[in-house]
Amino acid sequence: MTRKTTPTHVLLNQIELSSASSSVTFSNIPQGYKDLVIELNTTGSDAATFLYVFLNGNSSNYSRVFLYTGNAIGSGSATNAGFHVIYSTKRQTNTIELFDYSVTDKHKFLMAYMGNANHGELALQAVRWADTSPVTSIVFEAATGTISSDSTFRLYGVHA
Amino acid sequence: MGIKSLSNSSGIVNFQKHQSMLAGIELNKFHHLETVRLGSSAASVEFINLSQYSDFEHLQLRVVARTNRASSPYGLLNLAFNGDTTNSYASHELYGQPNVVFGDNYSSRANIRVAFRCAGASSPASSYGGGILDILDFNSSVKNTTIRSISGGSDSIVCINSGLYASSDPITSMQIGPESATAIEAGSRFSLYGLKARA
Repeated sequence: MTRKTTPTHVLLNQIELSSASSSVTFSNIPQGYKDLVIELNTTGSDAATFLYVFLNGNSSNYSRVFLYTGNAIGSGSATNAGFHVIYSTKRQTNTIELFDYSVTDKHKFLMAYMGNANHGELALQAVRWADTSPVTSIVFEAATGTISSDSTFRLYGVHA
Repeated sequence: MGIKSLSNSSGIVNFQKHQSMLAGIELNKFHHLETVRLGSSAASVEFINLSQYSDFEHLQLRVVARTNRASSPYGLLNLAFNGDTTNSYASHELYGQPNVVFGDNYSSRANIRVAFRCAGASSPASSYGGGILDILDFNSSVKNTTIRSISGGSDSIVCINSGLYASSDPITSMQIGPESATAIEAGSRFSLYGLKARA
């Protein structure tokens, strides 16, 4: 029996930087999906810093716990310090899963996994944004320096 | 002369149509199969008749959940297959809490312990946890079934897990239940996807 099913990961937007920039924004995110997946393939101008991720441009009310290994394994947590992912002059990949992004009755829950083999870092983190607003935009902002021109940001919608 | 259309009458069959120039290389190997959304709390969640998805190689669960585990900011969800609760399961987990890294293993268990971490009863209101779990070669009749997952519980825990079901029976059903709790809370969601190895 052949059932009718439909591919569920839909590429909504892809941004490839043609010149260095301090930030990248996905705006007017469609609300017709259940989850979002964001893939980042980036390099930056500074050696060891990070990219802030702001939902709806908001920089507060984030809580997160993370597990990482570089030269040693470790974990930590932070609150109200923004949510960020790895970013350096070495190429790194980050995948961010944002669950139930369009609902109005839940805080927003994210998982991010990231790696930078050259920089020697691997991390996984769980993030809660204590806000029930639907997510309509996502801003990536370099904490220092700029995001290099060979960086790509892809936004997928996931049906359910 | 250029080709303007293809049809069976042209003697060409089984050709694939793609909406993208990437011709099937894109991520679109994931297909949504089923979703369970809890309108009220439930003791467990079950997916049945999974053999109908035998045209997929792997399954993936995307979960947003909260349990009523008392006095804890995080909850645990365990996973059993085919209604089998004999001691046929093993799992490993590596997790991080604020300032604590810990690893553990569980063997000869009645289910895959900690398929997911999620939110618990003392999590802030409206907060949920969960994650993503892959079930590899679920329809194989020659391989024991293995899973892997990443998950987190609100802002209290994050973990990586692997699990084994020491049976080569194809997976036809799966049961997800909370540990140290009586219910999975309303608002929790369990979405099941199939992954094709080929387009």
